[in-house]
Amino acid sequence: MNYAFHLLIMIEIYAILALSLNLVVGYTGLLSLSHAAFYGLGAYASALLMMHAGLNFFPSLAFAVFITAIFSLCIGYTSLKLRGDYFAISSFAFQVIIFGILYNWVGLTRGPYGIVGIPRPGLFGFKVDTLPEFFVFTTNITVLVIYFKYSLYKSPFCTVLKAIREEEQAVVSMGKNVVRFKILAFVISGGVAAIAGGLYAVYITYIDPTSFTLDESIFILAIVLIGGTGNFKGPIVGVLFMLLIPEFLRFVGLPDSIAHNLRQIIYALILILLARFRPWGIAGDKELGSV
Amino acid sequence: MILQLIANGIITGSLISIMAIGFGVIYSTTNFFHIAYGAVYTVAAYLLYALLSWHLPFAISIILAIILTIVAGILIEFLVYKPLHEKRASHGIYLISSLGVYILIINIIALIFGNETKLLSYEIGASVHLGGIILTKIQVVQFFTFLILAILSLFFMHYTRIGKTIQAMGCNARLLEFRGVNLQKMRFIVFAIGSFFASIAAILTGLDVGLDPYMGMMPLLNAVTAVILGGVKRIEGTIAGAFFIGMSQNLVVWYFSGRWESVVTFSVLIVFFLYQSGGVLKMKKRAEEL
Repeated sequence: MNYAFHLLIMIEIYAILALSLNLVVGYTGLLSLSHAAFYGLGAYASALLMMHAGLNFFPSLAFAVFITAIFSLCIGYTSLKLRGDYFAISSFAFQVIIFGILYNWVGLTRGPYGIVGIPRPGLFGFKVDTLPEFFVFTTNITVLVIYFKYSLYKSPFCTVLKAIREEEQAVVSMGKNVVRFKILAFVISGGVAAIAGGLYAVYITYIDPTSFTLDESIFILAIVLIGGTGNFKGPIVGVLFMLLIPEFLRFVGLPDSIAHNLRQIIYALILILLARFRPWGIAGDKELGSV
Repeated sequence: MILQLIANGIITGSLISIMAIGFGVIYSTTNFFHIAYGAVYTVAAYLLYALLSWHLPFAISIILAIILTIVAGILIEFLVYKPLHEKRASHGIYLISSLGVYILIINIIALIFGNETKLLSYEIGASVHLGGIILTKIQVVQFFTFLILAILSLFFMHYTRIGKTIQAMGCNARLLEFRGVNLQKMRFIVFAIGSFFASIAAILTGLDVGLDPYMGMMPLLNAVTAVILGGVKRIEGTIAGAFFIGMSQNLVVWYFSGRWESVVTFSVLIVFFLYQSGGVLKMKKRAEEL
């Protein structure tokens, strides 16, 4: 039973990540490979603020979102001027840089040793400690984020983003500042990823840089691509699909030593086949990379 | 000390150059990022490892490993990219498929050979002293291999028919088609050349520091950076970019520590994206317009 709660909490965290990445990948058509970096920044910022500044969970999460949003503003400002492929490479580069900083700045992040003993969040004197309590806690936050995302997807802002995806020149000719819209989408996406990071940090109570590698970025991107880009249900389908496959493999009873590699092989095969036969993913509505 | 640093920078630059020339030939003609190139590199090193562990003679193992790697590179083009090309898929789709192929190959290798670092059964031999500079034998081989390959590829690109066609493919492939050039055949040739360079770089690196399944990522990223820094379409530029990265990495390793290496490479790339996109040796077009 505890294991089911753990799985559900992870599905919720990844749902937040996938929905936020979808704003960039699905709505502006850009392949971003730096999402794990924002996830990690959020996790580290909220953990460090809770432990060293003595803040509660919610204020430190708010600060973490703010800090991550500033980072993604800088990254977006640099990268979003570039054409599609170069944007991907540039976000790739930022992912490697931020991972390098998390890993090597031992004075602040304790580097490869990670941060141990992150306190569980408290709420009006009530401490969220057991798994079912934590599940209720993350569910509330996830529902809030999903509601925010849902209303965002229906808003005029996303209509403009969709228009940029379909026909950028037409939007330019209507007097919209396309780059500013893309940067805003990127910043929102980074900020929401930080929420997922904060949740992850207080849930696991231990973080180290290896949770936020390039592989993780690729995994989150794969969730969005496999589920389908450019609408609301795609990323959710993707999260369920990608997080439940390992569970099925566990039932088959593979030895742990090869399970990781085999999982990666399955993801890779799905990616290759989808790119060839179904570029809009399982439940998406827009073929990717039209820029 | 500074001489030793420069020497190390030149060696690193040579290795990055070999990888980058191959990547550049593919990128400049096909216009998408062949991420699976990093996996082709890993395949070459592991092929050599497997052949040597079957007790084949050293020279024959190397030649076989190179040939089989070229076959692998062509197979990737044939099985994965060709269908996409026929569908006129967008750059994003190529990038995703390529990423998929990379992950697939790396994990198959890890399944077969295991995740741990392997050493090639080859003695490093005596070090070479050159007026205060100490190099290992394999490093000297790395440098001279680079020199020969660079001269050959410059000659090839500028003075042979195929080389000129490859250059033309980068400019306007459709026009070439009108002239009766078989573009698909040319793409196979381009992938063969690229994979050849990757295999050389992988074998030279593998003999020096050993191999693990994830060894391909850093050389790939260095090569991408070098090609972009160098302005994509000129081998001279690519080599200049590669040496710039090699030098700066070695300086940083000296001042800070080896772990900041990748951070430095990519900071260089980002700064470059911020300020100008024409390449170290300037081209008329900006890099992201190509």
